[in-house]
Amino acid sequence: MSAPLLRVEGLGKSWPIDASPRARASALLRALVGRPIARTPVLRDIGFEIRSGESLGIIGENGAGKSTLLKLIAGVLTPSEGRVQLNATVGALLELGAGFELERTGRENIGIAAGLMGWSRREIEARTPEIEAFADIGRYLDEPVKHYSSGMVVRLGFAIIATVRPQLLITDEVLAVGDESFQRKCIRWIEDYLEHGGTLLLVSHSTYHIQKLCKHALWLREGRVQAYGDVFDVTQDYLAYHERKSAAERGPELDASYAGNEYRLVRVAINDSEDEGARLLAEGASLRVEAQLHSPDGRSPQFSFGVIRADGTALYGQVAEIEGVRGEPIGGNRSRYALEIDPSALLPGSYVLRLHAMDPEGLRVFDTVERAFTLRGASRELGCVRLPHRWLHAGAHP
Amino acid sequence: MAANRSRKTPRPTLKPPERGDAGRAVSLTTLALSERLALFRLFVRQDLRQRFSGNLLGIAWAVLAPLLQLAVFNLVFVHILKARVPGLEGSTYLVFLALGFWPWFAFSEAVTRGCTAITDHSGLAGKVAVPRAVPVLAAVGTAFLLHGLGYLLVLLAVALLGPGLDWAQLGYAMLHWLPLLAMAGGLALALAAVQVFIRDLAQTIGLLITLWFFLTPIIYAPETVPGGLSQWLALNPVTGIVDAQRTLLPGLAALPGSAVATWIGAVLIPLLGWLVFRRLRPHLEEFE
Repeated sequence: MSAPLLRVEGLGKSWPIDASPRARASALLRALVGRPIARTPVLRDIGFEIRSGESLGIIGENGAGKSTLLKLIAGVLTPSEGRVQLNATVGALLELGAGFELERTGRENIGIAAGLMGWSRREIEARTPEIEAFADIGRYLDEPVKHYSSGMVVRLGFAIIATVRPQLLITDEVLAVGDESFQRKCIRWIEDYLEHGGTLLLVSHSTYHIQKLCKHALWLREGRVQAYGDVFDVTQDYLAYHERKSAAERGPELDASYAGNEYRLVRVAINDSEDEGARLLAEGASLRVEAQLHSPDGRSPQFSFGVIRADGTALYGQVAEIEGVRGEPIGGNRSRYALEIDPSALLPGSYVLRLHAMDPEGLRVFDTVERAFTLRGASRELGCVRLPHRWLHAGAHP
Repeated sequence: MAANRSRKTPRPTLKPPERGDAGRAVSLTTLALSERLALFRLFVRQDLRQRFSGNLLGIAWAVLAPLLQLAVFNLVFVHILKARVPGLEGSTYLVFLALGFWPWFAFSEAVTRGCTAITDHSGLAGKVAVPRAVPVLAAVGTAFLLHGLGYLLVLLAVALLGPGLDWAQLGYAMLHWLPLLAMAGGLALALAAVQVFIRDLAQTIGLLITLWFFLTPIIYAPETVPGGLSQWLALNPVTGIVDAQRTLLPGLAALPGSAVATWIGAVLIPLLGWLVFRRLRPHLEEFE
């Protein structure tokens, strides 16, 4: 197998704790005599590889260290520990604008940026029209960059990178700034670039863009790798994490003592646990669901359940009444449903179980509770459900 | 280079960044000399463009400014102040001034602009991989380029209009721009690195440069300094450079010992400047 285009091993970066004028003065003296400066790590022990033609998306919350990681790879920052091994030409579009000088015109900045990437003046002159056409910012090209909107800055920056066509393209949250049509243009360009053997390292808060453009994803959390692997697994874990986080901020979603005017779920237990977090199910395990519902008027509310994939695809759903099932009255305007779901038809992956409380007529959903679960196991089958099948030709099963 | 870097890294346990097997490696220290030179030229070109673009006369200012400056000196020092130096006639004082001022312009501008070169380009930091020494040395280079050119123009103007110069000394005089360049480069590197940590430096450096100006025999001759003070002027490494320029003017004696200080300074200042810069370099990105 060929050597990876980029290999990151044990990479870490730390920053000085204090940057006040006083601390800087003392840091100067310490640096001059070779003593260490008090630091705090922002990235720790990052390791991954990208081979030529692969694409890696980096996700994480604000301040997780995504931009720092890209800067270390782009060579703009030096690592505090570990190493970055790179066997390619790199084009990096970090933050807004690839180091544009605000007082200069866009055209002058093309010269500077392309020059910094090692182009000769003749090359720059010959290819400026190409950049101009891609950026498509019209007369603004001859105005100082300080007059640009943030979208125009990104247009120009991306146009330069697109024309340079480096072996490894590093972009930091640039797709979010351009307008719809420019975003689509960039995505089309990146897809074409990847098809023709380009390698991409993309930071984005849009899991949609990451899923669309990347095969692998790396989730950074508080400066460490939280998850690294297939783009769908990692982004789903990431989304589930945010779901849990906002759920935690909302507080407990079930109110056991609820006595209001709506049909509500007041208790949900999965496999005898009321925990709201995601469940990990071993292969062959089942989901036992117990739900208690509140009814404001004593009539028995309807109950339904469904299973969806973490990306929102509906897989299965059913209403208790359709199967002729009624809730078991347990007193105090409450009724109870208990059921067991066999998920063995589902392939390993992340799923969400949805439970609904409906009015007795089954016309309206009054309350929804979601519980995430992950099916463990390794499978090379594709999709999300296992369809029973058998091979018919001779010699298929020796 | 890698071995040097690991010694400076703040924690002794850290491994130095390694370069890849092929292509352009990440670490800035592994940039080839030709790439550094290309970056240097790019910065000089941008610096020149920044100064002259947007002006009506554009690059013509590079020629006009020194000549106008000479005319102003003529008006102020020769006609209004009627300043004189012993042993020289009235109009020769203008030449005396020019021989001291232009090397000083190059030196002082190189040091003051070089001092803020890293912080001025902090917009690039964190976005583009540029060795931090490049903008500093480009600022120094630009100052010497412009004022060196100005100096030659002024010498030409003086030769056409005024008293005769001893052209045989031109090579000797111009050779002394090299130690001056070395000293300016060394000072600028050290100051630019320190400026990243202590932003007050840029304020202070203007004052110190003004003081240095008066401690250098540029507008006066060393002999006119009272008492034993003139020997102290010889310790100033720029004095020897000004003295060397004045060999172009027949009938002036150099201050004894000034050449020694110059050549010691020309070795020590760049050396110390580079050492300070190299020590601080790994920390520059952290305080920019």
